[in-house]
Amino acid sequence: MRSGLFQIERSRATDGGSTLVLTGEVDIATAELLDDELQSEVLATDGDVRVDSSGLDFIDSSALHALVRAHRKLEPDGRRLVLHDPSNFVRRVIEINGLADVLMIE
Amino acid sequence: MPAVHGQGAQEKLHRLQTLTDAALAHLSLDEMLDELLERVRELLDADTAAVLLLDPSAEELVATAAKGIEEEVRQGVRIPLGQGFAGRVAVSHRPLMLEQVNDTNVLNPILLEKGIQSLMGAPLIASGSVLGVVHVGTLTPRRFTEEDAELLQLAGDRAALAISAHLSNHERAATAVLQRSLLPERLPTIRGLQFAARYVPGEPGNLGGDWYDVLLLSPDLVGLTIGDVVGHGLRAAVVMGRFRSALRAYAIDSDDPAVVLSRLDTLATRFEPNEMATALYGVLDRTTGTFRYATAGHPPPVLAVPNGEARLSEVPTDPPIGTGITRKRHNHLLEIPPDATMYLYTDGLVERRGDTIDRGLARLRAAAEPGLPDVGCSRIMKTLLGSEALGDDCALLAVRRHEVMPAGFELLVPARPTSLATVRAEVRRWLRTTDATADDVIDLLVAIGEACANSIEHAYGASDGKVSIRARIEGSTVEVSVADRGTWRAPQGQDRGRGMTLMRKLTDNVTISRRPEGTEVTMQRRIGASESA
Repeated sequence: MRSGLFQIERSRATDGGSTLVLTGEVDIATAELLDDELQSEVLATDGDVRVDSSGLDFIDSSALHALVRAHRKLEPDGRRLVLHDPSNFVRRVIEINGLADVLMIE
Repeated sequence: MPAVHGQGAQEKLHRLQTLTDAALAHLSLDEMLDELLERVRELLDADTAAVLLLDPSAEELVATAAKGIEEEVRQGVRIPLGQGFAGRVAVSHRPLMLEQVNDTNVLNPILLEKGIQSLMGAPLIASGSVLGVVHVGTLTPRRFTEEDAELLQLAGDRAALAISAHLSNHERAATAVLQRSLLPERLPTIRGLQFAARYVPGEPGNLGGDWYDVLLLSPDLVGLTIGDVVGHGLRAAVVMGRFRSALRAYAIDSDDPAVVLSRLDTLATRFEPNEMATALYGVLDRTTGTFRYATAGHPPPVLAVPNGEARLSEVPTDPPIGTGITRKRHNHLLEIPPDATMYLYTDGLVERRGDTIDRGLARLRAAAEPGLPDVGCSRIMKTLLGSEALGDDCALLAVRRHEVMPAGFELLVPARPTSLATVRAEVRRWLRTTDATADDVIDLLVAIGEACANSIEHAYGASDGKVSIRARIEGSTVEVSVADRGTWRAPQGQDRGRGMTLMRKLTDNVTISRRPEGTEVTMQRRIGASESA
């Protein structure tokens, strides 16, 4: 298990949107990094921000906070934060927090 | 055929040999009866010959083999004992003759329809009891002689011998198969409990009505049964099977042992009016060790504890199953401490001819030890039974409660965000040794992670700040405490507020205790497959 390791990869799509591929674990040690990346992505693109979270083994409330902050920045422009293929872990934590209807899951 | 009444010694010998021919013994019962009837018919120059056997109710004779009157068997003719020609032969215990058959002296219409004029019958007797009747008939009126009667009785004795051997073999085999199918092949594996059992029939191969059962009612509750149907042999084993199934069904519906036994009693009284059984049924909570049980005329459990004498859990017993006494039945409580072993048994274990039951119980108490149930069972069987032949069946069921290992872990980490990964790795490793489901693991990782994050954020920056994590499991409840040195800081900002919400949502109980030396968060959560119930 890649315990404690957190990685972000960026890939830009042709429609102007982009995808952040997250792997590993996000806690207070790494949430700031996630928050920074999401915020700069929000500014750098015009379209939706897609987050591939299939490789996330752990997230806590600080990770959720980063995701929700990005969602709030996008919302006024009619853009969305899209969680692509969330892992069971991510899915459960999002459901328990009542965020399943707020964050777009695909 | 003129030779029928032949007087010669040669002829007589021939007849005897015909009926006692050893070759008959090698045939199956059906073939043997067929062959015997054929020979009898020939020797006595009769037109018909038939064998009727007493059915298991011992109230009716059933046509089993026939020559010249095969309809009897095909139509399943039944003659009540004492009635009709065959019925009278059976109760008279000796050969009878009927010179002129008519509708007043025979019951079976087939005899009249066939045109049978005269009949002679002999009882089939083995070990003093009547198994059935053999009779021959003629289509022309005939006066049978004493010698004819002797010959028929000889045939009857030969048939009785074969039938008796066949029936007891058959019953033995059937009982053994039944018993094997009814006693649990393998006792279940339940965390925190160990089981062992013994069953010994009263006579080798001749099994009976003792039974035991272990039922998984829920992840924490286990139903334990031991019972003893009065009587032996196939009949007792069949009744035992019915009682066992009924008890299982009632056990699923109610976790109240007194109610389960009351329902079994009602069923037994209504549908098995001639049967009686003693039984003990109880529900054991593997997490607390509480055994709640009711007893229907059954001997009490024996509890063997570490560093102490085994004791009988003597409580007033309610009436046996099948007595139909509607008085309310009672539950009793027996606490099984960790590392103690409880023994349930049938009276065959403690009853000896020429000895009191109290002495048998004293011997059992002396032999009962805590520890591995299998070792305990072996010791008890060896001490109480030795090599003695039993007069009665004997069943023994042992259950031992033991602490579940590993119980938990303790971890002290620097109050730095990078320590969180270390904590998670330890939590994952530990939960793998428990019954935790995938969701349990996710929830506990998040809840513990939030508690640790709070502690770390608070103590962060303090010189050599530490966070301690203690985790343990009792039964199916996980308890995790996270402590730091410093005062608890009220959750600040939205994310930390969410942290508390998460902890409360993901666990069953969260306690925060603030002390001058630091703050401790303790969380409890039930884990395992059915925790959502």
